[in-house]
Amino acid sequence: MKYNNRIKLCLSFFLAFVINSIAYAQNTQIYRAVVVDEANEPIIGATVKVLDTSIGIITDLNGNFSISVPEGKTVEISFVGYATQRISELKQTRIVLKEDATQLDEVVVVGYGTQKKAHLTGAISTVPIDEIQDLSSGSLATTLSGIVNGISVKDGQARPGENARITIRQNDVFGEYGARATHPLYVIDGYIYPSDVKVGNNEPNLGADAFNNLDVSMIESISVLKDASAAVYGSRAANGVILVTTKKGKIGSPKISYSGQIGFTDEVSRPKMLNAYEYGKLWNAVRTADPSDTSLNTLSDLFQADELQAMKGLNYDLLDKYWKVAMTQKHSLNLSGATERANYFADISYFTQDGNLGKLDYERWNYRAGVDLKISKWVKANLQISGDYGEKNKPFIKIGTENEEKDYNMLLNRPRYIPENVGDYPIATIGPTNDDNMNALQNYSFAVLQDLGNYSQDMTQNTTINTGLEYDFGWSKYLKGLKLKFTYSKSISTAKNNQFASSYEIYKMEQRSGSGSHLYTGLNDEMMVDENFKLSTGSVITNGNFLSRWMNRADNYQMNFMAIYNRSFGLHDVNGLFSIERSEFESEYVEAKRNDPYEFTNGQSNGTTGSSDNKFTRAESGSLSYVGRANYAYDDKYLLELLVRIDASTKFAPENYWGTFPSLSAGWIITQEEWFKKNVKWIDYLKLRGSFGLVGRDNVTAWAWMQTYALNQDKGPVFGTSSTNNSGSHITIDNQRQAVNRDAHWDKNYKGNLGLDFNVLNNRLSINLDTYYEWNREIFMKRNAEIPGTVGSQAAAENYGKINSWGTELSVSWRDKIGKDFKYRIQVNTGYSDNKVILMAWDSSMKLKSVYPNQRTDTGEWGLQCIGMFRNYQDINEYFDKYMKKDDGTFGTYLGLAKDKVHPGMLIYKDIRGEVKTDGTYDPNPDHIISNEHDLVKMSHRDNPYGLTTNLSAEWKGISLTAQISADWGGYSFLPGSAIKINALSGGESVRDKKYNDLQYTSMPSFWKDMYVYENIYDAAGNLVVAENHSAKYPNLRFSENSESSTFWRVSGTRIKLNRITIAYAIPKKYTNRIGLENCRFNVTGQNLLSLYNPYPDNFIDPMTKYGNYPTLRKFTVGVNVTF
Amino acid sequence: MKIKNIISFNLLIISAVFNTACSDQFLVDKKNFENVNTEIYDYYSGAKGRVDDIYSWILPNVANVAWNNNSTGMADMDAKSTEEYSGFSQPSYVNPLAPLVTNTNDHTTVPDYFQYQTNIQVSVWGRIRNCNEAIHGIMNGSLSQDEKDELVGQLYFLRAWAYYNLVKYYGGVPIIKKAQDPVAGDDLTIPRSSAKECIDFICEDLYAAAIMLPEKWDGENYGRITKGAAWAMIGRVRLLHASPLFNRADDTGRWEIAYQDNKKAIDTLTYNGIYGLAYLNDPGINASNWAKMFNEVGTQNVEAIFLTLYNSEPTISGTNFNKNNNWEHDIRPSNALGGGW
Repeated sequence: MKYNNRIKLCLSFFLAFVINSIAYAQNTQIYRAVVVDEANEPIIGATVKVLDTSIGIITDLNGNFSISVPEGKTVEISFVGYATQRISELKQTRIVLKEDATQLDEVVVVGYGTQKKAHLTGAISTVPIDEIQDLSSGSLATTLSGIVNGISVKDGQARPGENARITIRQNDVFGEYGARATHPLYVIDGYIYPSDVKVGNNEPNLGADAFNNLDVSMIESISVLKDASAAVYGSRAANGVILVTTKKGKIGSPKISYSGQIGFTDEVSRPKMLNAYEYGKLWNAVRTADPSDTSLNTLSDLFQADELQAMKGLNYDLLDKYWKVAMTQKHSLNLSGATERANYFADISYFTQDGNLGKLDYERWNYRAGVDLKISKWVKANLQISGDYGEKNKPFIKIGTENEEKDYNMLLNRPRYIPENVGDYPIATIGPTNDDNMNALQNYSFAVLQDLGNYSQDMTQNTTINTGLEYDFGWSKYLKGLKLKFTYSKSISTAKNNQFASSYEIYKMEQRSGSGSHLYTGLNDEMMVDENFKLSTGSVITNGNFLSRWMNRADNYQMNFMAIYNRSFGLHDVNGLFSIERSEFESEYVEAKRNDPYEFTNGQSNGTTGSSDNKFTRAESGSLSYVGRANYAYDDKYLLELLVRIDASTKFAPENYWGTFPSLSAGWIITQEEWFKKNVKWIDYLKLRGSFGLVGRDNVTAWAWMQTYALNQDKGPVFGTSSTNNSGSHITIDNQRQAVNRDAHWDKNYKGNLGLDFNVLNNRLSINLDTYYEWNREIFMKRNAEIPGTVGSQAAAENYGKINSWGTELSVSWRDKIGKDFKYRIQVNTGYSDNKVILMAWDSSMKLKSVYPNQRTDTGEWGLQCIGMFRNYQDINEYFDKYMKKDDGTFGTYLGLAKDKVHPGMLIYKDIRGEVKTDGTYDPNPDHIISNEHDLVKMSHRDNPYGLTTNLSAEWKGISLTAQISADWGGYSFLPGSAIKINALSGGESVRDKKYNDLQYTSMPSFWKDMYVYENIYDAAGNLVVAENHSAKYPNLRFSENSESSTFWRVSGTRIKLNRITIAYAIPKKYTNRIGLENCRFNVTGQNLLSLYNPYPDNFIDPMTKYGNYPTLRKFTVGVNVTF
Repeated sequence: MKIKNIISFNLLIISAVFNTACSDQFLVDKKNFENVNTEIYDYYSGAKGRVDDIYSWILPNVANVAWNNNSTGMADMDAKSTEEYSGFSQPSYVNPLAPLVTNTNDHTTVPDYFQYQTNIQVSVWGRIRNCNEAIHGIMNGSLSQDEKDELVGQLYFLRAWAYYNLVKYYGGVPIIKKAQDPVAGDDLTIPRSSAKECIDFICEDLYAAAIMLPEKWDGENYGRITKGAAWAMIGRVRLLHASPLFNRADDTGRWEIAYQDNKKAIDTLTYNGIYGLAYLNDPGINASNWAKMFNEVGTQNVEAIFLTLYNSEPTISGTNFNKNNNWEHDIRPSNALGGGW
């Protein structure tokens, strides 16, 4: 059917309902009263409704209302956080609302509708929006960490514009096994964002992007579906679902509220590195550590005594020079209001976060506007448009390989005796031997690239339109409770990236100062002549040297036709939903690139001289689903829910389009039982619930079922009689396309969950306990070579893997009042989770580190067992005699080294066992050989299995405090690889065979100043430059054997962090009212505040940061919220 | 409007909406824009692209003498002698205990033809899979029978060529006639056939090719397999089978077949004078005319029956038009169009 016809149809549909509306009038009475809370403070904005009519109003600034009530009708007064009251005898003039600790009347958004919290049977958590409203973040997901039990949040705390990633329960483990889908599904205002689509070369999760781009001031609620209750989203629900509802207007006069936030961001900590002098000594000690190395020239290879003396006064700390505290701010303005017939709202919000390093920033605009109309008593319509516009600027760095962390890493690692410039010449990171050809990264220069303005800029724009039309059959005696609803939502996302990459010159010096010619300072005039400065590597350094631009556009719509039934028959509550859902997605992408821009390039294609390259692609997909839900509650006591979703997706072969995902859950509110109420008085609320269902994991690339071919231009065979005939085009099956499995379909994920909700001590203590078990079946996984070679291709991936996962989540919260004014709440979230792999493509030859059947996906950390350090040759002799002597009298090797290659300053490892035997098991007897294959021990069983997050809040007369502290423990951590060995800079290995040379352009963390030195080191003039250090804590960096993963580098895994604190003050209403404000509140918020325990040596890094990467940012913000 | 009418009107609309929403035709209409699929076999250019692809993987590449290409021009027994003789002279051909070598560049040992098992383009079974896949695709496509014959004939020859090399090294091998689903658990294991069955299978392919292929191709398609080439290949295969390498009992029947088929090959090749001996009575000064046989193409060269062509396009970064025989170029003197002295 054509699009036009569809619109006509909708219109006539709409008209048909309008005609049905009926108006009427009755006798009325005016009812006036004041609404107060238990502390006798007026409640402003409480909703007063006359039941079974459309009459309603809200209380004014003094808590007063006046409403006309038709004869015989009941008035209902409700306010968030308070128990709703119904008044039928309209005489009471002072209505006291009681705080509702259990909030059982609270409505929770579930898939395709809402449900009373009391009637929930699944594991559905809600995010308390007021606890995250003061947090500053460019990525909404970061604010959820620690707030919802069972979800974890990663990243998003460092570079501006970086998105965080949410994992519900254990769904991240599948990523390690080739699973593509590990994000939860995001549903915003009923619109399911596409998560499994292709845009250009990427498969972005548009839902996660949309979620991270939301501004918290626009959000009414966030629900997290963790168990089989997600089955209503069928094939995409295995990773859990996050449902967001945005704010609507509230009945009453229009409101304008502003919330603003301004603050600064700074590093949580900076890695402690060696100073110039310590670095010089370290180099000398490393260079001389191998006594068998005869190539040592003590004058040219070592820093001389005078040079070291001079280095004591040098400190070219480039990171310190360029790192700056950056600003962040947010402003949002919300307008809203509602009358009986219309509900309107509009928001705009602006967020910006500057970078702490060079030209790096992120800014975003969000907007949203909409209206809900009640066209007649039985017809409702709504329209909402929302969107965001973001811009992210980053440096572009392609020295060596492309890696955006290089700026921070190279600034941090540069030895501090090398200045950035000498005279006008920018200086490459060239060390003692003046070798400029060790690693491309030596030629990185932060300042030069900043001056050149090499950049990468991303601009994104997303628009979503939601429309809906609802018709209520409330006028019919029989169809009462039935509603029909049609919704149509569409999102359009565009993204654009511009890159500018150029080339530059950087220098080395032929002659340098100091008696060994190692220093760049204290230069004489002869050294400052231009001839002394040569291009590093002898040529221009290219940082990519191109201009490029790509753009894409992705369109998706979702159309639902829904029938909703909701009716109570006496004690029976019946609820049902049926929906047909259809969605289609398409995306297009275009990119273009031109090489060799002029120095004066205008950034456009005509500003280049080189070759060009361009590309454009398209992708499309569609899905059709049938959704059904039925709820039944008897007397608010027995609850039952049945969900079914049938999904079809164009990802699969037509015969595999369809999948069915059912779930069943039930609950029993024991405290509603009369016999329980009578006998057990101390329990205020007790609910048992359980769910079981099947959902899908969308793990298969679209079209993977189909044999496809690559169109290869050229490179083919030559035919014809001319010797200039091209090597022609051909159509090939390459390695990506060779193994096709037509039967590919969704992974199956069976979810079981048992839950207990429990309130005691007059509802002050509440406990939520959920325990789950998930059976992941038919996981789409690659096979190892399990088919005969005669087939001629790799084995196709298949739906065959099996992983079980399980866990328990416990949330305990205590809320109480002390005296009249002091209220507080302590909430502790904790849990434990585990899993086992039942079937997967096992390693073809099982190693110690391999995953074995029925073992955890996290195989822990394996390494050598360190039992000390060789401090002299006698240690080595004793060790070899005792452990390494074979039966035939010869010595075994130590990590491949014969005894004469083993030197003091190396770590001693324990010989654990022998080699692997033909049957795959290991010889348990030590074989007098130390090997990093078979002498490994399990150093840590798994990542921290235990964790605890505490959320605190307290309030006293308008002053409130909230804080979050988290701890996790039970595993071990290891020093980062790049901190314990030379040659681990981002961007690759040295071209030199002697790896210690990489130390020439890489400084090391501060703890290395206590490094083992075998004997005193003298320079060419015979001066002592480094004293022997036999009692050192750390082995000599020279020997790469020391950086093998081993127990020596193990530290406690325990982490205790103070994540955030907010202190807020709300000006009492009696003052704000006088100046016409409804509400005025100030807050000071700190995020990523402190690590209370640091296991690292010399505290060289903070556990919140990653060594060598842009650090996690600590943020302090001051905010204000004003409502008029 | 009466309530009844309203309801029926509503129902009408609802059912209309329902019908549009429920039709899954829009799903079937979705296309894969990233790749082309088996539709290519409905077009001559697409099917030809597949055939050319198989040529590019399967033709001997003398520019790079490696395990997957026959030795040509190396100072080894393969190049210096007949196939059966080289087989005997290299003990590993006839010694079942001699290990096969995974990577051989010198061709003095027998290469392991089963290497790179997982690479469909490089491994020999991958090339056979490609042939099977393309034969199936073209046969089930919508091309005219003449077009199908012309393309499939070439593929039969190329499949036979791949099997011929296998049989030469291993004797009997499993015969795979269709591309198997690479899905574990299915019964994919095909038992090894005897050498005779393999030889017969190869010849069947070649007979089919000989029937389908033209006697000669037009100028732009020069270099493709011809009817004569197929017959010549049959002769070569029959001769290998009659040779002592396979024919230890010296069954004269095999020699008889080999003779007949080779005679047929010569008759086919020389019919209409398309092929023959080049410069038979005119070797030129210092046999310079005979040397030309490696440069001349088309009707000038009556001796080239099964050939890999190269071009003289220069190597330019960013393009792949060139296919140069560097090895040949390097060893040739400059007065014979080479790069040497």
